[in-house]
Amino acid sequence: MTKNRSENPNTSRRDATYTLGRTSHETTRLIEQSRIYGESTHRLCKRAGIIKGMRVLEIGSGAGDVALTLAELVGPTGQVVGVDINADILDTARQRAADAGLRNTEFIAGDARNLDFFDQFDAIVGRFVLMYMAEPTKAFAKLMTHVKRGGIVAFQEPEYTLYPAIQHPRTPLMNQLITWILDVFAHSGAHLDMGIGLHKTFVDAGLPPPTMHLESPIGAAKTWAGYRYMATIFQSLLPLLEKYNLATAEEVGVDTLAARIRQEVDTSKRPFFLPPHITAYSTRRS
Amino acid sequence: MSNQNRDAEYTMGRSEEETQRLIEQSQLYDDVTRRFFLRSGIAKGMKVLDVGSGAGDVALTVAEFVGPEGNVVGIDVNPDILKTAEARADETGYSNVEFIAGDARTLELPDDFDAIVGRLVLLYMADPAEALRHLATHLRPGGIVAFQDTELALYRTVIHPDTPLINQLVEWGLTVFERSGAHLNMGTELYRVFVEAGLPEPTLHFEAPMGGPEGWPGFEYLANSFRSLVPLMEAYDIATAEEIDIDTLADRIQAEVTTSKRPLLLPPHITAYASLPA
Repeated sequence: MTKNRSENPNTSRRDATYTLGRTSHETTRLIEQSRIYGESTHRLCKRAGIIKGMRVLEIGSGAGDVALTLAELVGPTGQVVGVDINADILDTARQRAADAGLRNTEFIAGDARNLDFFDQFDAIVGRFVLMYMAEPTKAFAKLMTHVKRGGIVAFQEPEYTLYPAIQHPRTPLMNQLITWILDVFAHSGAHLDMGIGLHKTFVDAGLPPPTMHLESPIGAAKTWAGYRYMATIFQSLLPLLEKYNLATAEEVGVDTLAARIRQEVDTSKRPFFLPPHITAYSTRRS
Repeated sequence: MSNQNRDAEYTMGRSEEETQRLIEQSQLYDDVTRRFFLRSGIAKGMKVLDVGSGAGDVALTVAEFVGPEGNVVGIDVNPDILKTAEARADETGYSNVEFIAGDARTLELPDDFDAIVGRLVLLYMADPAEALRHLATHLRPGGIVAFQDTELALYRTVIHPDTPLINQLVEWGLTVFERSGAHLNMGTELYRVFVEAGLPEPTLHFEAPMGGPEGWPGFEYLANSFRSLVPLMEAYDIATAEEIDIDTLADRIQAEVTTSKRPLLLPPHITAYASLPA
């Protein structure tokens, strides 16, 4: 464990280095991520009250998965505007929207904190995005100016500080992976406690305390997709793990990682947890 | 997990307030349970055994899933609480739900159930794997086993300098469950228990409600959980009713959330289901 593990690295005025990189592998990982976390995002948007006909702003679209979910919820009479600072990945998002036959979805390259929009939105949604922003409270207050009074605010962020809770003497590999994840995200300047921090972020921006859920995809069966997904996470993390001298490619052993995780589950009889995340929704006061 | 051969003393007690607490609990966790049953494959027309029915919430949810052509047999060791369960089933107009007082591990039951379910029940059993092994003998081939339990051990990590009240409650809560013989890590043990019971590997899910907004029932629910725990906490000399100060507890928890801006985590649940070979 490094010492900045438990400290909040948020004091920096600069955004985090995007911990997972900008490779085509990372784009594939984002799409796989959505297969695993997508169901809870869908539930979040539905519970939050996103319905047909709404105009929704989505922050940090990446490969477009959340925007595609939203496009389905708002239907052809609604509209989704997705924003990402990475112009390249939006080509993938646009292509996927076109493949899905969506005409109500638009992607804009830029920083949602600085963009101006014609009109305020009925809802704002973001997944795994505030964690990378410098001073999330300030950023969030800025983002709220894009939402109508009474509009819906729904975010989903990881909560890495709870992750060590599942470390166990019988699962040395799991323990090592958790340590690496926490260290690399902390080094890159991401907020490890952004999930729990959503409550404070909402309240400080003048929103009512949000309704929240903690979830973690877990599995233990031979056929579970999570082992392979964990290996893809590590493939994306590898450049920064090496750069920060936290681990070498050999130590991580991405190619055999999924098989070794499953092996440890089988021996330890302890389920494997993917990173915990927290969903939160509320409405801007009218 | 404790190795003792005896079941836990039911940590929450058997009071009327406890019955009310169970009903509130259902409001907070019902959504998790419903999604769980849907995924596990519980469907119209099935005959389902519910182990540890308590106030009947899980049995009533199952009754909705199986519809009028299915039926539900709910079992609980506490005959008194089953009166509440029966009354609630009557009010809802269900004629296909039956409750039996007794220990599901030793009762004579049919062996053609389509599914066996249980929520927050294995954690109190001396040997959950043995219990599941036996319970599964009441299933037809291809039958479903679906259990939901709590992972209280995870609570240790929510300790934070800004939340002295929560920290105190976590310490009290974990101590009383441990002393009563309940399994604090029943959630993560579900996988091992299924496999050791000779069942196929289960599909798992992990979730916990957090809060909370104005009017959220979670604050009352946590306070009422402590109301149910007071007798054992006093019996084990963990804390006195005065220290716990139940009547103001919900308000104090909410006040601490407001001041600390840290949301309240309710007990995390893990669900596990598997189907026997056809």
